[in-house]
Amino acid sequence: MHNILLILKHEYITRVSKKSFIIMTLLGPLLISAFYGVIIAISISQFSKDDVTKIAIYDPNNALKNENLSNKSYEFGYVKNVEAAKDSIRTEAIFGMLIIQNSKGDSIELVTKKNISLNARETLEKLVVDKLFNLNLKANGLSKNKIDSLKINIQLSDHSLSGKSNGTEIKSAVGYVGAMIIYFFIFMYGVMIMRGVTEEKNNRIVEIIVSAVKPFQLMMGKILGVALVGLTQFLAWITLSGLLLFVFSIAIGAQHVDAAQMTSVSKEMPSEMAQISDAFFQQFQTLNIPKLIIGFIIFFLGGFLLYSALFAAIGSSVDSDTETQQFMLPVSMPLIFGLIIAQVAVINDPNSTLAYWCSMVPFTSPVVMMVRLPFDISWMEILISAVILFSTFVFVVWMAGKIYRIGILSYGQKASYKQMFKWLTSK
Amino acid sequence: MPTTLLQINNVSKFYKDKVALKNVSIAVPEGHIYGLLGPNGAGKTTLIRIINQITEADEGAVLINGEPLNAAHIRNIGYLPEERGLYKKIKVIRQLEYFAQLRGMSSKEATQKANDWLKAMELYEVRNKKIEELSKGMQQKIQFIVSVIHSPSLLILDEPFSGFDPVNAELLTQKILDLKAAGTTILYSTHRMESVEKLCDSMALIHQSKKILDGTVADIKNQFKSDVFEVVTNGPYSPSIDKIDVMQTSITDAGHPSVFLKLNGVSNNDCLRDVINQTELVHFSQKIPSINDIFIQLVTA
Repeated sequence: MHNILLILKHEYITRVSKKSFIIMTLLGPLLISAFYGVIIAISISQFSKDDVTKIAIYDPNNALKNENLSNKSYEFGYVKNVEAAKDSIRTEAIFGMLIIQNSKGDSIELVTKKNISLNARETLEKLVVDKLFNLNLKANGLSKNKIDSLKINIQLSDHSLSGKSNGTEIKSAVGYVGAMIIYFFIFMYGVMIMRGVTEEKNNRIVEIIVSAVKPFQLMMGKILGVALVGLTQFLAWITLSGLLLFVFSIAIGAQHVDAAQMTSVSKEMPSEMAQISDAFFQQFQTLNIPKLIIGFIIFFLGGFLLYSALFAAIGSSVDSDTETQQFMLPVSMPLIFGLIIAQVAVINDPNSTLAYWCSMVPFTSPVVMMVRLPFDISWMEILISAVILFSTFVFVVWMAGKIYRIGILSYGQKASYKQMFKWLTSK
Repeated sequence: MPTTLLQINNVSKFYKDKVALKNVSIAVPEGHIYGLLGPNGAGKTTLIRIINQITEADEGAVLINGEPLNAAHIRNIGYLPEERGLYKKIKVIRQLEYFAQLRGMSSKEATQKANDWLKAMELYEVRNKKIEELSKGMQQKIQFIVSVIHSPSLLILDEPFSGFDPVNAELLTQKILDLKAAGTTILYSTHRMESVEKLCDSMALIHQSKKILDGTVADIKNQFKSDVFEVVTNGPYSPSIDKIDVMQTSITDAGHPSVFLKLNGVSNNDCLRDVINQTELVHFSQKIPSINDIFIQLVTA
């Protein structure tokens, strides 16, 4: 135990005092927010781009009654000559041409030179169909206002038996974010452990160390030390992000108030905002925070330890980083599979059979159980899954320890599954 | 007769497709420098790894001071592996402290000892540098400190002189002799025979996984002493006793005729008399084989 602590301390201090660690810890939140900033900026610019797309309409039966369809992004013009319009498309004077054969809207064609995005196609479709629908209404003596007033617009809000909101959205979001964090940390730090082991093996330091401590102690010390480094970075990121968010929200908040005062935009805005934040608060209240935190820690640690042991075993069997690739795939497959299950099955139905079993199988459970966790999973289920996870961890550490013990002292042999199996079965 | 510090009894080690050690028994007396000799691949490193508890023997027993080898012995053993390795990116002093603590020293003791040894090895100025910033020779010296920092009673050196320049090799030799004087038992594994005669008190020769010879260096040399003598004279000499065979004749650098004689039972004095009857004697010596000669003789036999 003393030795494990010594190695843990050594690994921790060495890694935490590295320049790259300090830089990443400080820059991480900035990079992540910059990353999201860019994504948001791009999607906003998509919506508010200034260039107008010119579309010609060929409407021989006058289905659109020469109505003007133009808006901010699209400018429409009626043409009589199809060939001339096609020429304009070729020279890119206009983007494309709509050919409307009849007013039922069952045969509308779009002719373009470049491929059109799904998004743009949908927008165009909606523009034309809406207009045709309105014209149809008019032709049948109904006004659009009349129709709108008759439409029923209700959102289904789900409640549990206790009468509270189920908070499905926030639960999905919280679960998914938690799962992503687990996934990334397992990979980042698992690979770090693997590299560390390979480095010690290559430097032949390992021979001195294993003459002083048991290979198992070396492996455990390393895994726990790196786990602590990961946890440190994680907490630092949360703290820094929190600070950053706080500073940003103050800055943006101030700006927002200014803008509101200057243009005095719609008065419903505040109440709408209040409604949203109220709904958010209601949903937030549905979360069982202590259960989430306990669950997160259990599955974060369990998953990390389980996979770290596997990564350490890989690191000990190879002579260089480049050789690790062939072993990385089978180890990372279940983790990636878990993430896909989390995205597909769990979000659709957190209590489906597939979701249930994947949250029990130890190699997928850290990710899948994390996604299920916010959906009132019973403590019993969590406990069973955690017990399976940690007993698998003990078993895998025992196996990895055997591979590790022989692997770290075997040089120059091309690592193979056969070789690793031999090491596993040797005494 | 000193007590035996390290006793190896009939140790064998098998790998799947080959035998690494076969029934090897060695007794290393306390306070000796014990040479473990053998060509590459003879099984020396396997034996050293067994003593270091890196691997286990399949058969036989290893005793230290009469006790079966166990985890508590780790702190009494120092090990300088043939393949050297240190953490490249960690400062010298931190590295030494870490390894010392792994061998059971307290943090304070470790710092104290590390500084003492750095001074002794003329490395105190570089204690805050990273290993990768040091010259190869300095790295070798630090590696040596790692193996002795916890004052082990048994020090295992596997080819300690490889990579040392003559000046540092001399410093290292001196440190090894100092440690011996302080009572440390040293197991010195090498395939460089000339250093064995200089340093070792006793030795064992391992060849093809088996021990083929052991004993004190003096005994072994006596055992392999032949009755070949070299006679250097001022004038020409040819033996007049029939039993004496002439092995080889030559001229020394100083211009004296030299002849190697196999006496075949004729006493030294009779032979000497025969020489001085004929000419003036310059030099008369028994050819004692070097450890290198013995080694080659046994290994190629």
